[in-house]
Amino acid sequence: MTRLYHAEVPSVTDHLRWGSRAFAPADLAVMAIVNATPDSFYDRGRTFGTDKALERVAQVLDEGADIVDIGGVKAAPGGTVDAAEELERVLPVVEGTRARHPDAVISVDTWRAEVADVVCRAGADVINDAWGGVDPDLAAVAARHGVGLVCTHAGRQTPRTRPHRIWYDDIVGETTAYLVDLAESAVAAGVRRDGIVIDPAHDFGKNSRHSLQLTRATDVLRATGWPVLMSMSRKDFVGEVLDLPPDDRLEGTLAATAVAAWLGAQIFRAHDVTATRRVLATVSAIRGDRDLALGRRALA
Amino acid sequence: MTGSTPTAVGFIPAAPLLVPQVAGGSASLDDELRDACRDVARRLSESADEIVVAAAVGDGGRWTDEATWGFEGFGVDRRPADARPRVPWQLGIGGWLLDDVGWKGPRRYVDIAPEHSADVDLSARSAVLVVGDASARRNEKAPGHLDDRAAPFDAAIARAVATGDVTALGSLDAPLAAELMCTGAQAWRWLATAIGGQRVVAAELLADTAPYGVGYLVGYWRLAQ
Repeated sequence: MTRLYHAEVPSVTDHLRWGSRAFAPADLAVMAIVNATPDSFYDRGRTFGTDKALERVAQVLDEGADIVDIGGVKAAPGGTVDAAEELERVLPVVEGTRARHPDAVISVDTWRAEVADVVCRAGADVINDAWGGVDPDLAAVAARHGVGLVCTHAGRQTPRTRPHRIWYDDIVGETTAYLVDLAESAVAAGVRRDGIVIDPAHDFGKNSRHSLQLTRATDVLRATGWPVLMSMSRKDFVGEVLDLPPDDRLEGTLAATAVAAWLGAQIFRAHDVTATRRVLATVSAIRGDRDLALGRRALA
Repeated sequence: MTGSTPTAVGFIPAAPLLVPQVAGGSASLDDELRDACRDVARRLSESADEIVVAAAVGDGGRWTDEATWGFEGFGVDRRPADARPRVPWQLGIGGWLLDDVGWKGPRRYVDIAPEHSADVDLSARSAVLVVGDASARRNEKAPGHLDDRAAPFDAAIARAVATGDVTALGSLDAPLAAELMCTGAQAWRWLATAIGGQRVVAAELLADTAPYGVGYLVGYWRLAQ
């Protein structure tokens, strides 16, 4: 019987290197969402303001987050947030995180090169380009600072717009090709090969079935050799499977997390750090990549 | 529409969720809207020997009733391999509706974009089913978010459909329609040009609703012969 799973797929690099951390292909990591926004869909401003955002950073690191992902502009349409306001929200959180947690891996969720440039000087380790290559200068900024880059497929949507009746002849093929192209373009722009991951961006430029198809095809994404990041936490595709609002999407999110992890995804951008860590640890143990934390049952 | 005398016109939205298979478990939420569309399709089928499904899609394609339709690009399970030509999904919504009401007569599908005045030959007893909707910016949850101009814009279209006002439908502001993400404007302007001086003897607006921030209009016109 032939059995394949992620670890048998060749990787682009031995380790993914972000900030102080090096992640081996079998390592599963949690990227904790830190919203420096008043209006993001799930937390709705609970962590808005530098002090609250820094409390959130401390909490998620305490819960075992491997990476913090700080964002200053909600994904959905709404009032304009220009680069100056985005920086006003994000920069103090990056600076505060770096000062209080010198070893923390700091990612900043932005599509703007000018924002990326400033936060990288303040200590960010990764740029999470969640809108998928909209700003052609972003990769060059990541290259110049030697930081990591999340390459994303957002269906070529304009930032902060909603997909409307979007049609894909081949969602998996188009997404995979786009991501590989974006990753290779980033390498050509000088970004470290061992700093790049790909993210199919659930819900961005996609309907819920497209997001499910991409989750099902996580192994195809993994087979590109690039580490795969999944950003699925409490999103609409989970909500539409279950017909539940964001507050009730934890179990669905964790199911998607387990399946994607089994199929080869490595980093999980999540609101719920403890729950996600427990799921990933269990998947890791099932795969045989992680030993028991406690081995007593029937062994005494 | 050279030398044509369509007997009737139907207006339905271009919403994929009208097709139950696409809407999934929530299909029944929109039964009222779907039933209004079925009502229109039945009326067309009673008054015509042929039904022409029209929408502004983009490349001006034409298909006969040998063509089929599908929604797999929305992630709905692919149908078994089928060698027949396939119409764009907007026209496929019309195709689904005609199948759903049991229309067995001849049908054609026309993409009237990019030339909205495109020549479409109609036989003496044809009916036209136009697929398109009003603004997609009716509220904050809408695909295009809220634009305050959307509600009055959509209300004017609804009035035109309800009263059989061909002139009003034909003079829709194209740039504004584009800004408001109105997919129907081009097809409706084509329709107005095409039916020209032909009188609307009966007009009815069966639905005027925007449950998801997109203006859905369902209407029926009977034309003078």
